Amino acid sequence: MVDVQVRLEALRNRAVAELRAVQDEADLERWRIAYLGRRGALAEVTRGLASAPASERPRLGQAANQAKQTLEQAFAECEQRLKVAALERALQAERVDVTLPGRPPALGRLHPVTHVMEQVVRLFERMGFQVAEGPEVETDYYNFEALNIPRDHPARDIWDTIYVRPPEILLRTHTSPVQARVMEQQQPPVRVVVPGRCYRYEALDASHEWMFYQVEGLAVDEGITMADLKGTLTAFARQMFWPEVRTRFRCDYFPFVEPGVEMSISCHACKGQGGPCAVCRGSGWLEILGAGMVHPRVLEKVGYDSERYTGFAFGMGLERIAMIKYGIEDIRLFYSNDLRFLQQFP
Amino acid sequence: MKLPLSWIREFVPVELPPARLAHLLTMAGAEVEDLAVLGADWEQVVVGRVASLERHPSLEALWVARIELRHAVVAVATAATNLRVGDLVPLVLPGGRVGGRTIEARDFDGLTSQGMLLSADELGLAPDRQGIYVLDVAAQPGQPLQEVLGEVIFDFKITPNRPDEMNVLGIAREVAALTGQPLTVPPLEPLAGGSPAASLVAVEIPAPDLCLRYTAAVVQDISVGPSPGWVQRRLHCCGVRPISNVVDVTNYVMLEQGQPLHAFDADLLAEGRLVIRRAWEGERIVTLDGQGRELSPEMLAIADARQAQAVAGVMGGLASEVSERTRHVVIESANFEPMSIRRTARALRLSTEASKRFERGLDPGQTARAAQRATNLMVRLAGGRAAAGLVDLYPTRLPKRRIFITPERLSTLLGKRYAQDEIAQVLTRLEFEVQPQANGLEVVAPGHRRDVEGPADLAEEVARVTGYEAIPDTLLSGRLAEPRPNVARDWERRARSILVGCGLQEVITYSLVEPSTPARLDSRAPWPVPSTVAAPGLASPLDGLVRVANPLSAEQSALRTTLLASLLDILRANLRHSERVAIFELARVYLPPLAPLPREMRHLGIALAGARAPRAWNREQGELDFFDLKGVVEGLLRALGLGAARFRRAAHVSYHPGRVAEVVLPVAGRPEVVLGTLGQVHPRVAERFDLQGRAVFAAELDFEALASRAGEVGHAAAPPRFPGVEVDLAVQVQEAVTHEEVHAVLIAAGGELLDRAELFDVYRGEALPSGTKSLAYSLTFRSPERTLTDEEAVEVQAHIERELAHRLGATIRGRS
Ligand SMILES: [Zn+2]
Repeated sequence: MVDVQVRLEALRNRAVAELRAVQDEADLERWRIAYLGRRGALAEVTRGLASAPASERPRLGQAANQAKQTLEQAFAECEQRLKVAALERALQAERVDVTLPGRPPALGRLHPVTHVMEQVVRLFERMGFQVAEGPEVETDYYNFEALNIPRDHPARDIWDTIYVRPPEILLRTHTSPVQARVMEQQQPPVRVVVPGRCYRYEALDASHEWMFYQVEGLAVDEGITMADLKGTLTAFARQMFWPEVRTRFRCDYFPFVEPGVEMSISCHACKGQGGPCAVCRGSGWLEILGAGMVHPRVLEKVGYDSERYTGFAFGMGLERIAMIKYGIEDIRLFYSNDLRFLQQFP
Repeated sequence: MKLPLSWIREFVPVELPPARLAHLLTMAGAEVEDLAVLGADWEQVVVGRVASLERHPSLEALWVARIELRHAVVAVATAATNLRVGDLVPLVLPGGRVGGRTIEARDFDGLTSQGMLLSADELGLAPDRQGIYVLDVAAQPGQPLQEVLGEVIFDFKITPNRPDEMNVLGIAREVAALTGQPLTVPPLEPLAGGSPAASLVAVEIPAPDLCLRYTAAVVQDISVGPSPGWVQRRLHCCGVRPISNVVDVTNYVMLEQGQPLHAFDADLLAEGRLVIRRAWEGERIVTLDGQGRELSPEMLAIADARQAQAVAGVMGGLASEVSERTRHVVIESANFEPMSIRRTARALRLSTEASKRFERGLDPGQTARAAQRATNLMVRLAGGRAAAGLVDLYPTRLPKRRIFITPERLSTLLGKRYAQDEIAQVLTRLEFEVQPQANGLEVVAPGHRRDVEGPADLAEEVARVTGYEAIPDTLLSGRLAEPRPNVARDWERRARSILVGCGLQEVITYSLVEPSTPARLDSRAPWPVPSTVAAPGLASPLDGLVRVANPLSAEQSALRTTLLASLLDILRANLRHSERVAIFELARVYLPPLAPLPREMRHLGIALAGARAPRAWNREQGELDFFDLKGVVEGLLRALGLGAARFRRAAHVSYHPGRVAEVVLPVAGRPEVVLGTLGQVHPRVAERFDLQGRAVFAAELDFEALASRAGEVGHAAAPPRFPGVEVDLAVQVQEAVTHEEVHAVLIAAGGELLDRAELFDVYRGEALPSGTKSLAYSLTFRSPERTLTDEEAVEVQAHIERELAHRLGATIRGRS
């Protein structure tokens, strides 16, 4: 009877040893037939139990069962091992060169001027300004007269004008005419920004365009001061350019504001140090926009009480902002619309 | 405006470094655009004294000058003949540089010239090229010339409101106020001793509305000749050409005091009279620039007894010009009405140093002082005798404007509190009269500050002198207006982001186009068009565009009514280097007539050509076609809530007749709205844009119409809860039957249980009778209330098939 025990033991050891060498499913199937098949080694041993004494049979039967379980478990483990290995092999075979370029989607982008315009408008919207718009073909009244620039005033030299039907109808030279258009429509408080196209009679070169975009701003109510102007525009500059930017205000003249100022920001290239810097031409500062306290006469023309209300206005050229922000040296790039230029913006 | 610092220092002893002073002035409003140093390019240029002069032993035209320096005497050859022993002259030593070139010792037939003597022109001091420049100021031999004649020159950009700063004295006044240094104006010599001026010239002002004040001085027995070096140098620094001592004096005093002057040859004034009158209609004058000009009664003339002798405030006349023969001079120092001068200068297209100052508004109070200064200077430079006194007519005095200001008023404007004393001090320094009152200040601006009108102007004076950096930075507080809807702009943003998402690049193109654009876009119109001229500002019937009156170029002379041409131009330019060009623009067009303004409408233009997708190593390249364009437009419409829009065959002169559609929006109970057009650009039109042989697709939509009808989803539906039954159906119809017609029958016949009917294939081919096509649809039947049975679906489908056969003569080729 020891004989059967020993045979079972030997059988199990041999089978498990062989199973370790099995590398693929065909080998595994052969192994299964050889050991666990109907005519396999285990079945053969089990059949031999019939000749064992009846008293031994339960024990031997149990031993045979255990051997069978062991082999079946070993089989299942091996099968699992082979599956994992097979998947591993398959995945290895599917490997790609991850450095190959991706299949590019067609990506569009906003024009950089639109992009900058949206940024500017969004910043002021967060400070409670609403967007207003006005016509590009304007009357002399809104473009000049309402802004305290009477006919034959020398300040008119500041704006070289393209006329449609002189002297009354022209292409607006700035977005400022919308100031009066807005104030005629509503009472204070007024807080608007006005983005839009403007035109000047100006020969095209690297720093001059005859068509350009401005954003105008206007805030009118009781108690609005030059300090608010400075604070608002400085907050704008910090968010638009870089957090450490410094602003500088100097006296300047625009007939529709009094006092009038020009705002510069510290040069990013030289950190405001000036010296041999080509970006700011050594001054350390870059002129950004014109601004000021709304001239009492502008308020009076729209019927506001200039003793009661004060306000500030500002106007900036978006191309200039974009040029500073993106280091663009030639303004002509904007409207020649070369896709190779346009498609590099965010 | 260029002014040398040394001249400014004559009036105010400012010792700040020039760059610091320039900064101070710039911050206060007198912008220094450039700071140049005259003599910065002089190296080894020194003062020498001519010790002896003799002819060159062998070279005839040359002289040998022995030039005494500090410790040495050097020999220098020169061809100049104006030198005398004892003259102080500029000498550039060997190895030195001047005007960008290096001078070396040079041999002149055995004589080594130790450098070169220099002319005014070579030094950049004055335009004079004749002879060597002889110094007229004290200097030590050997002293660097830069120390003696070097100048710091400020180039100012003076704003139009500050004509008082357009001169040396005005800037000096500003410097004094900003630095606290005293302003010193040298006293004038009295005009006494000669014949009374009034006996030599008679002045009358029949047009006092245009002439506020007229002051005249007379100088007799002068000798006209060149000005001395110091006058010429100063004028040259300021960019004014020296002419003669008499003319130079008038320019010198204008630069110094800001008062334009004119000198008449007194002997050439008929009857010795000056009549300040309006010009006669058609009156002619030849101005100093030699141009004949026709005047009109809107213009002010300075006439003698017979004719106009000057265009007042603009330019003198040739007839009474000062020449070498002139012996007696009348000096005009007047004040004219600014707007009239500006109108005259513009009408004559003649902007002069004088007109630029007058049109900005000068102080009528300064004419006498300037006349006296000019007379003093003329006697000094041109000899002669000054007549006693001045002729001074002052018919119109400007009223004194009293401005009341309080510290509170200032702080409501500036957001910073200034003490009353500080305000008074600043204004006093600027020569304002300041009277303290019980609760504020009563202020009168000086005569040269005609720009100051009210408290806001005074606030600016205080802020700019004390510095804007002293004002705090605060954020806005207080009330806000109720948000105003700006629907068009909101949809504009949305449309831009959708189109960018569709792979289109935004462009911005010019609003002005060639007037021939409509013809260029019209495939039936002859091209090129015969040239036509339309009246400015009028829509010509031929082109239907609004023209501009003063275009920069013919290519940009009319306001566009369509974006199409601009986009095709950009398309062409980019196709030179890009294989796929897909662009859009959202911009205004300008529709005639002018009433008085054109109608400005937002349009959306799209243009596509080239490859469907960017080239990739792992993708088949396809070309963009009509349905790519339509897909973009459909996507946009759906995103704007306009999925109900329909496309239908249309006719349009710019497009391929078989590949053009109109987008229309049905409106309940009203006529449908046309939203725009899309299609393949007509090959003839494409050719006119150098796009021959290319399939170009374009769309132009009326964005106002889009935006006004765009909207959000009214009531959002949840996803269906019950499964649907999907069936494919191939419908064979005649070629002329459209998808839309088939689809309409499907929807109508399918009723409530047909959830979706989607076209997935169009087949034409041998398997079909010619003249027919097969449209394959994927149908989904679904009930919102229960799971549909197959029998129910089959029943609906059978009804659909009967309807298709009945209404469109369709045959069902297959179902599944
Ligand atoms: Zn810099």
